[in-house]
Amino acid sequence: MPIGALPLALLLAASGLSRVRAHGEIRWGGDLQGGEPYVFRDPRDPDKLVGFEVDLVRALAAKLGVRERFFQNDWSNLVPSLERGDFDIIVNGLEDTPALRGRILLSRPYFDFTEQLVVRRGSKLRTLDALRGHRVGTLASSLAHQILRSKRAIEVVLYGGQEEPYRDLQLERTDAVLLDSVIAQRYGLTKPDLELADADVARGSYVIGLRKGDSDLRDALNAALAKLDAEGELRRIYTRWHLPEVPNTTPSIQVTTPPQATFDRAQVMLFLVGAAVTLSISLLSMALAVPLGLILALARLYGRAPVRWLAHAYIELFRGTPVLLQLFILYYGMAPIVHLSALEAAILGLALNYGAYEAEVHRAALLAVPAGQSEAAAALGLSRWQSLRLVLLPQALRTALPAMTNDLIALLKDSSLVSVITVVELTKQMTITAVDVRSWALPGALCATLYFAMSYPLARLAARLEARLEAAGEEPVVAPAT
Amino acid sequence: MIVRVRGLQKSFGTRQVLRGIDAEVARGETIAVVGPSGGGKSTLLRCLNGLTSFDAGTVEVAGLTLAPKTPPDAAALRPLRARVGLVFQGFHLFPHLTALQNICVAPLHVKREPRDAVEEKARALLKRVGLGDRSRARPAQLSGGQQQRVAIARALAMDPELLMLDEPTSALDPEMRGEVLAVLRDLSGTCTMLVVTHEMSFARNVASRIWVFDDGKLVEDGTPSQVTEHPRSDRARAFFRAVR
Repeated sequence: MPIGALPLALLLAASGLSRVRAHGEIRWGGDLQGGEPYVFRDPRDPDKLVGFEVDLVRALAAKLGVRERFFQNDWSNLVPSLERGDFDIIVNGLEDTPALRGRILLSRPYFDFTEQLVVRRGSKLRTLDALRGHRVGTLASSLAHQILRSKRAIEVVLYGGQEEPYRDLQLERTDAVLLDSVIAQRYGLTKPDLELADADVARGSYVIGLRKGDSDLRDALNAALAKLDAEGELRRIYTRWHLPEVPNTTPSIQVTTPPQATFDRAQVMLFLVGAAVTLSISLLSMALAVPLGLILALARLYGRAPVRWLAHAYIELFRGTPVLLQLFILYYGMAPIVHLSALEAAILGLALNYGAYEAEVHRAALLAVPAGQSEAAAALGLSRWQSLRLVLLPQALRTALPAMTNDLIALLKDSSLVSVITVVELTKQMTITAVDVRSWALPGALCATLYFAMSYPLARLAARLEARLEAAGEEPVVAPAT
Repeated sequence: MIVRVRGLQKSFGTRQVLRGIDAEVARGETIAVVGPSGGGKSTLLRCLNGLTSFDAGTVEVAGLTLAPKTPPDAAALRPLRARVGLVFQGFHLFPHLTALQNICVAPLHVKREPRDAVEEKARALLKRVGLGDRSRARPAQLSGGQQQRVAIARALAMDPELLMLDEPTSALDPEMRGEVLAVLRDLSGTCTMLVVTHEMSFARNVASRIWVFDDGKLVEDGTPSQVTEHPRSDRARAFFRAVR
């Protein structure tokens, strides 16, 4: 090892506090998608980050005598990114749970909240017990999620952002939403048709997350937090951001910590269910996308001018915009017009998107049929429709088959996108389980295995179909349709 | 008259391909259409069943009148095509269907004849072109000569009043030309045929009349002996000297 590298290596290996001091800055991770009031872009000046956690970290950094620097990171992956060393601490509504305690270091709480149950105004289902057999929305991997899962008979609907659970509640896709008071006050109770059913279901608190081994940094942060609390600075920040206070009531339920989940048969069963959902969504979407694509291709090739333009516009629009966005618009944006269930929206959304791709596959395949074929069909007196059905399409199908198989395999994996509209399929199941059992290795391996187990036979099947169509066997496989 | 053409004109862009053709075909005739490449022979055939639209003139085929500038996919052309068969230089058999199925498609779907009768007729036609044992073969399993014979059977299955063949042997090896020409010789006299060809022996020995096309004009029209031995135009004389 070169001698010059030695001090740097020592620096990296050094404990958290000296590392932060040496850098002169404390790097903190969070997700801007969490939005108001945690950490978000100032609407008046998008270059500036604001939020009560920004104020908090600045105050803490001042106490440590360093600068602060924010690192954007997807919320559900904050812990693995912390462990990777992408930043020093997590400050982003991280909830104190025993599960988390077992994995990383946690500071003393910097904010206490209650879990609040929000329902539609006038709803009769006002307690978790009453909601057995009903759908309740929450954020994935939150304390509320843990509480809901301990109530066996409740169907939990998981979201990635805090606006959508309340929108779905308004749209009667769910019957209640359980989330912490900060979110409930900001995003739920601001909607006139929603109301608070239980203001104090359970208690929880936000903590700062640190890597194991950075205990000196944790101690320094705890000391700083205590000082800020004593000086009244914490209270001032929270008042400035209008954060709800913890009421003087007794929580409806005591959060009992479930024993750490193990990767057992029940988990494997959940994976199999997820795989079944993935496969059904993919096959049904493709079953819709292929005929849709065919209609679009025919419209584009043979339609009159306006029909041709419409088909072309559809194809370019759906290919040129992200499928994630299309799913969002279909499920949330179109909800006032067409009320689709999450599964329906998932299947339809993927079908509409893949239909655009299939249209181009069919179009290319039809164009690849030699011109002599349609001339021969015309010379025999076949109508244009008969010529398509009896002569051109059977040949185009053969050309299109490999591309369609590729698309189906791609769709199988793209179908994981539908988790944004609350469908729990294979990939989503893996992320949920990974959080539960606090490891990505086994769930990831099982997830990959299941995907492969689904896509490989599809590829084989397609190869055989292709070979069968290709084979100019003496025995005809296709009788002319009548 | 099964074909009556008056003042037929056709241009591709600025190139005039047919410069005012007048011609007639009587039932039962076998007419060999010969002449140098680019003379307008194939275009004439394609104009007679509407695969190529023409610019001016009148065309009557099998009792139906074709208007100039009729688009090739016009539904109005379907009755005409049901009565006029066309065999292509490149066969254009449907590769996903067997020989028998290729022959059955049009009678089944255009004429809506009963399947049993159609299949029986198709088998008879295959036998007639010497391929009675290949009914289940696909085009890819057949030689070029066999494919062209299936294509002829496919056209005959519609019981056409007029059978047109556009250079039916030009894409074939010499040894396969014979088998196709034999089929055509066998057919001559039993149905009206218009054959664009470069096979001069066929034109001389089988055709009842020869048309010589050159530079978009019908420069010679007469019996084989008249046309080949005493051509009236310099063009035809030059052509026959060249192919002799």
